[in-house]
Amino acid sequence: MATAAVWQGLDGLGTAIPPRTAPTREFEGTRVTPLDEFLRDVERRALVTAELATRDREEALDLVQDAMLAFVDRYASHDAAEWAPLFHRVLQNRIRDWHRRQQVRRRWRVWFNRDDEDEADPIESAPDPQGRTPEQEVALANAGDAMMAALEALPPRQQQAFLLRTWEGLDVAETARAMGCSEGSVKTHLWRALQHLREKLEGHWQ
Amino acid sequence: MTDTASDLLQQRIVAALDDRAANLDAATLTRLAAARNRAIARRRGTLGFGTRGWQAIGGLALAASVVFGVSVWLHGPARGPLPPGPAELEMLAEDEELELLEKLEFFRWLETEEPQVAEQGGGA
Repeated sequence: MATAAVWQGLDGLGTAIPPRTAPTREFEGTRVTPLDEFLRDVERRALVTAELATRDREEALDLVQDAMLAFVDRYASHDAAEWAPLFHRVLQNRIRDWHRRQQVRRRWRVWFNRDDEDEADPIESAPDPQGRTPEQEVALANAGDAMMAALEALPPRQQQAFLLRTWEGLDVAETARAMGCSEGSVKTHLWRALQHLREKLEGHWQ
Repeated sequence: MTDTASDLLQQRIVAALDDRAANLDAATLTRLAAARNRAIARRRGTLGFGTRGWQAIGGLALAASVVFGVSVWLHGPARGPLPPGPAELEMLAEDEELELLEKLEFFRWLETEEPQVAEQGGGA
């Protein structure tokens, strides 16, 4: 589903990317292993997923790199058919840890600034939760950006369920495995995600 | 909302996501490729005799030395009484003890001398 569009692009070295289903073969004079192919396949979508969760390209790149290293360390010897849910589980764990760290940082920041009369009002100085300037808000007028904004605004679990089920094409069981929850929870999160998206994007998709 | 409308919404969102993934800038793609190559290189290192191989050998060596130490402790030579320590030597060197030893030697000498004296006295 998503693969066709992804493979049409170029990788970081300016070379064509092999399709997901291609067998092991020579690529620029070097042998491309199934693991290499798998990572080539998922890396762009993994980055977009992490970026939607963090709203920060640098943080997203760090998370994807950590996820790749941890996945290769732990699961590369597993059957290739299991790689997709396992990789997404590693990535989702990294994203969840990132959210927890952010929450702790926010708590400490509030605690340290609590008695500081000279400091600016933290509410005033807090960044826009959407992380956008007014100019960027104007740019969101086009439908694609509005869809990305709606996805970014979803609660993390709903966002995960939507991306894994709808974009990555994992089934309910695989999504539950990747998210570390029950299949019933996946269905609930997905249903709520779709409700939110319909409400937010009412004027963009009809 | 009908299922068809819902499907259409999902299709559009997926198309927007695909578009974003396909149009990442060159710098980002280079960094993704570097991250992937780093992960693959680590995998190659693991398949060879990498860190884990040495860790396994270290673990085996540690286990072997523990087994050897325990077996020596359980089945080693019997241990006799310990040699006297400094406190015991000090007690031995006390004056009273030396006097007692000297007296013991005197009585032992006297015991050996008495029969001779008796024999000499008896003969006179």
